[in-house]
Amino acid sequence: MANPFRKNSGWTQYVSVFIVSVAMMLIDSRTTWLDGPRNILSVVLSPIQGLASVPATIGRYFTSTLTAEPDLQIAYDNLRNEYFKLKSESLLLRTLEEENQDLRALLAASDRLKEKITLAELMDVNLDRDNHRVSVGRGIRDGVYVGQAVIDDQGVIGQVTEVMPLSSIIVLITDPGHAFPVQVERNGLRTVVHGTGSVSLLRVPFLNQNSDILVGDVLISSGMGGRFPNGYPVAVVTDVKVIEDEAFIRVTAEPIAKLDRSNHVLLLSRQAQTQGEKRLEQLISEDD
Amino acid sequence: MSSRSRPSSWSLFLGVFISVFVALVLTVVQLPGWLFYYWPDWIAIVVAYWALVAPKRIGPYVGFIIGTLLEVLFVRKFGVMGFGLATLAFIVNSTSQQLRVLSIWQQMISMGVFIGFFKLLTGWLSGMVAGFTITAEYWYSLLGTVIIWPFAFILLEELRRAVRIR
Repeated sequence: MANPFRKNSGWTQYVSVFIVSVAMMLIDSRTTWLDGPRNILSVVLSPIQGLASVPATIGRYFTSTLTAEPDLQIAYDNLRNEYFKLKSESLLLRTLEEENQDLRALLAASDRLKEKITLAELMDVNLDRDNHRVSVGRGIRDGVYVGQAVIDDQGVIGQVTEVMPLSSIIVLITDPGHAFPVQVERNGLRTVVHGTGSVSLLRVPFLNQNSDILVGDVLISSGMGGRFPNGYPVAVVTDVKVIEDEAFIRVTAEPIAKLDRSNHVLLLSRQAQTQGEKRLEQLISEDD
Repeated sequence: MSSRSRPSSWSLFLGVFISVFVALVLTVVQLPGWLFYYWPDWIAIVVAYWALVAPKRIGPYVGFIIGTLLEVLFVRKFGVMGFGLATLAFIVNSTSQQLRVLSIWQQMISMGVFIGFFKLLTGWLSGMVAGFTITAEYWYSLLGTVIIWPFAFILLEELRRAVRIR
């Protein structure tokens, strides 16, 4: 491309830009060839993201330094109580887990997969108001991979869709293009939830008139599709509408995770392989 | 004239660089909820401004480069924003003679129309490329853009005077 600041000759420029753009759109929507250049540019442009978070950082600094001591004391006491409660619960969980493993061994079932957890902080940016996505400050450097599950302390947030060297993009479960396999905790009924674009509304499509689903039911991740570990809470059913002439009932649900309020998220990665998988991998590597 | 065009070209580059950087920061800054959807399209404002005051030098190429930067920053599909901003720059370029004699209020309306067309085009294209759907909220930012235009115009004129672009 010639010097863009020289005298322009309108139509020529416009037509060449048109050709290049159409080529880029086609290539980028069908292949991954442009991901390399994008990654390099994203590192070059990362100062802009850092600069954009300055106002929010200053605001947080002031609120944290100007908080009165009694308030801090109260917050501290609350956290302490919470800590001891969780500690005692986790002790109980340890014994339960051991018991569960023994039982599984007796049944000769495979071990439940363990997940490794990475803590990540949301970067203070509104990535894009047209899509429900957030960016976190962990990337290829920290071993993040596409399809990785993301949760917060309450429930499922979404999954990683793009990984760049220093950051990655998470698509939220409320994104209009996102669907997620779940099951009803009460009876194991399997279905999917769809994002709608509103941060507090999910849709549960394709349930028959005679499906057993009630307002207040908790939907947990079902682990179908292999991307997401099962058993994490996703949403609570808020409305079930049966319309006589329609094949399916209209069910809406509300996400459990604090999608628009959490500052920290947890990235789950599959860590421990089962014996079978290890053996399979060995066999594959021996073949090569 | 050639003796003057050389430093002027550098100061133009500086002016565009500063304003685009500020616009990018303003675009990604964190906002309270009530302002979120009305937050103007700063990049579109900046591109339209420079295409208006320097139509001979800021055209589709520059719009395309800025749009590509935006796509990297927002992790969008390549090509959509670049083409959209190039189109905006091209329209403003070819009507700059008429736009410059209008009063700032009339200018505001025409910019609303142009940037509205830009949003329609990019929304439609990203619908084809990335499965995006245009919602009612998508258009709210146009209101913010139109309202902010006169103020942004005055500020950018100040910037232009500061870096001495004729």
